[in-house]
Amino acid sequence: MGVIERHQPADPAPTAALAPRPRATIRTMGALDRTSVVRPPSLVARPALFERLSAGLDAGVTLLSAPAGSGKTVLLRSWIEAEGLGERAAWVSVERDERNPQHFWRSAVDALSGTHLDGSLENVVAAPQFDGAVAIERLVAALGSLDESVLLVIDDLHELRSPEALTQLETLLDRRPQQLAVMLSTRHDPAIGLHRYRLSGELTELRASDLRFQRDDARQLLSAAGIDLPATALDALVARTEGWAAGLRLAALSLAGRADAERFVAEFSGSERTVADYLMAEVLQRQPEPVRGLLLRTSILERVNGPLADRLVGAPGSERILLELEDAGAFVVSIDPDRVWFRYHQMFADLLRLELRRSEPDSIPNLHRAAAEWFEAHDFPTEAIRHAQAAGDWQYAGELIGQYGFSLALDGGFATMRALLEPFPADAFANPELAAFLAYGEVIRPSLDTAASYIALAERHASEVPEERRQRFDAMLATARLTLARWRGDYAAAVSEVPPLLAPSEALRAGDIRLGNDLRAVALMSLGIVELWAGAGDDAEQHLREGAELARRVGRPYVEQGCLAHLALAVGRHSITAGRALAAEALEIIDKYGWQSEPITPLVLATIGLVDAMQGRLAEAAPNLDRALELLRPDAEPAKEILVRYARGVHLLGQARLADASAAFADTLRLQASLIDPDPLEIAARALEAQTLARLGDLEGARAALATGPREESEYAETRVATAAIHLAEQNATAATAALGPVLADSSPAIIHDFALIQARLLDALARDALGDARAAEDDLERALDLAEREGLIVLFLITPVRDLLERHPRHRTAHAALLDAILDVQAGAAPQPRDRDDAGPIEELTESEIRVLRYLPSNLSAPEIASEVFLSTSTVKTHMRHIYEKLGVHKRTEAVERARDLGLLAPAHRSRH
Amino acid sequence: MEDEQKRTRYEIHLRGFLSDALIGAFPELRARRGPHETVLVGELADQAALHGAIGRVEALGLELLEVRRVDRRKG
Repeated sequence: MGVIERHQPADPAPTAALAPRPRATIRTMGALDRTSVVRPPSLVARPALFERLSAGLDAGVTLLSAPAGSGKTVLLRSWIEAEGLGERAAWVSVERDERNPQHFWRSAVDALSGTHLDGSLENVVAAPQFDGAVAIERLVAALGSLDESVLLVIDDLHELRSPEALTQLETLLDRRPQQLAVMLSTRHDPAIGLHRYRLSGELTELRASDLRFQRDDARQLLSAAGIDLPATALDALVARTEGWAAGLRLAALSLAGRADAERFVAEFSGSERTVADYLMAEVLQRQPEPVRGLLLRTSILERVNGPLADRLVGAPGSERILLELEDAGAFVVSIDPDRVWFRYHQMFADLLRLELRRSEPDSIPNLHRAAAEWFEAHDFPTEAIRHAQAAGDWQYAGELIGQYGFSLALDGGFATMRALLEPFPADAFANPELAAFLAYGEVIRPSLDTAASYIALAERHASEVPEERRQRFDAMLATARLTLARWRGDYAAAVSEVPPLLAPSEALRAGDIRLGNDLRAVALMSLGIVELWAGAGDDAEQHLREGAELARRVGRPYVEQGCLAHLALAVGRHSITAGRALAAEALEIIDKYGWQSEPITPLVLATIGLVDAMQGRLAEAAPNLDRALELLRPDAEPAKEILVRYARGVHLLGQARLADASAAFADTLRLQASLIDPDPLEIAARALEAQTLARLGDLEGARAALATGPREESEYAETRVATAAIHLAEQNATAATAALGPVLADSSPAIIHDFALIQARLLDALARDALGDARAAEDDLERALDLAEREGLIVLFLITPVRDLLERHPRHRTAHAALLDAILDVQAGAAPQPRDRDDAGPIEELTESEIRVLRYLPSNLSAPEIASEVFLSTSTVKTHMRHIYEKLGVHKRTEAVERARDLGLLAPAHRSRH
Repeated sequence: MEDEQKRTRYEIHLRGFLSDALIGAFPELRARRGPHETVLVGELADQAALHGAIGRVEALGLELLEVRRVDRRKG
């Protein structure tokens, strides 16, 4: 009789394991690592050890360091149950050969989320690009704010093979808030500096000699299994096993139901075979065939449940066996509260695998293959891929990567993906689906030539992809090409990739919708970015908006922020205020998920900084622009770096730091050289570089800078503006007005439309003034103010030498007195008041005519004078004024002005200046 | 530092008599089984390979008695 028959079935509800589980999301192993409910097998109360663990809980850090099978896990679980700590304990079992820090911390945060910690940290550890330092920082902060204390148990710490993760763990211990106690269980001393805690008395240590079972412990363990040994046999057994927990447990299993217990102990004592080896053979031999078969055949799995075991053994009934094994304290332990999933004790799994390899070596690849199919069918792609690889079925593994790799990368990070890609042998890469995915991965890394060769490979073998996966494959390949094109600046070629991306997603199988949406969102993002850099701003705006919406709908914040960050630039073409708002939205997501070190962050910060600089908030812009430069990686996408450097140039120019600005623009232009197609900002940067040189007095250099551009560039508004600036510096006002003519007639193409047009008006004003036409100069200036008012483009008035003109500008005739004041303020070194305040309570929106009237309220014009300025009757102006007062909730003109300034409807008042 | 090009011969002494299944965990080594001790012998590529073998000793709960480098020939 085997051990199984002796134990009553513990759980009468086997349906729990078979019930269909929700399949809405793709699961990774991490999601099941949470083990809040623990069921220690055949408990042995070990009061002395329990006491030491409880003391360790108070002291802070506990280390259980002892060889495999010493009973560390069982001890910890028994103690947690005995002390009723289940609710406060977060249990992490480190997976076998864990090399991925993100996966490890994800498990830890998952486990902690089962305690008092809320779910906000899951964002940080779920980022495709994981930042360990940020994650630890957030974890420390979150734990430090708890009202109650939490115990983090890290079991099998010896399996953590990532030096990074160990360093991060060390940081966590160092900065451990008082709410957190940590227990580390490991087969050998971990490579983290625990000696400090030993010295400070914060470390509790339990080692092999402490864990060894003494006679009384052993008797308790055996009698829990219904075995009563005479004292001499008990002593012999303890001596032979040297109190080794695993040995005693195996002995208990082997002894169960034996009539000749003493003889067994005598034979065992007389054998020279190793304890585990001898007892495993005994135990296996005594199991009925179904149990033996299940133990051996499922030992290839990291975790097992009933249906999966049924599949591998080819017979039903496995769930019952697993439950009974756990109840008997044999080999397996359940890892979820419902006891659906089980995990082998690692040493037993290793021993069972060796026995499987010895007794049925040919079955192993088939078992892995069957496991892979089961995991795939049940939406566990990571494990499916691992088992397909273990089966040596590279074709199947490659298909799985092609199908799930994309979503897995978004779910669990690129590091996980790289770990999954590593085992593939070189010749497996001929698989087109795998190659298309690899190409994408290489671009991200990035290794452009490798990516290009994978793309070529995928293209060559494209016809091998079966019809039902073809659409997905095409989209993947196109995304890889688009991404490569982004890095190479080969935009025009890339836009030809559009058709497969825009194919309707309805054609996908129903189960593929989520996968399809993931891919589609990334594809839209890639397409939009390329269109943006290629100068097709309207298409970019449409695709990025669509991508951002789709990403938000399917819960892919990583893609959402990527779309928003670039959408900000596309929208910024016609409204920098709206663009800034989108960039701020992207930044919010970045902060929320701890993605500050993401390659996209510099772009977002530069966008915000550039708009702030353009709107004259120079001091506010500085930290964002500095940080953007700091975060810029040497392998950044060129278009991104160009924007960062350009924004810096504008900022420096706004501060009249001409030489520095010139250097920033020169950097921008140098980067252009690496691109196949020109970046639109190249024209704008060259024009500003020329202007800056002209202001520095280097007219020759300024002309030379403009001359480096292609001929057609001379028609651009930006170039004409720069040419005019050079003419003005040469005191040739007539030539300046001639250069500006087409810009003012709005017949020149422009990169940043308002930007160029305003500056053209300002330069024209200077030229007209120089030519003695004060009225025309005033008119130009007023039009420049008109254009600048909408978006508060103050910086142009700083980088063009118009201060004199501004001060002379007749205040009683301008519709922009407030803006004018704001500009003069900034010139004097003050910061303008924020224009967009959303904290000012809801008000009824002012009509356009009311706003026109409002602009005159800060002036000292009377109602009839305003009326003549805006070409309305006096009574209409008075009506507008009454409506303005009502809507703003005020009674007097001065109050209206004040309130309008608070709401950002008017530029702030100018303060005293010299 | 170890010269990684030169394979080195090692002996790993383990306590007890190891079964065939256990020895199967060390396909790169040959086993000499004595009554009280099993010695795994063979050439290993480098230190990493040695640590790999010792890791398996640890995983299987075997008791490590001694590790010895037996080949000291100069290459």
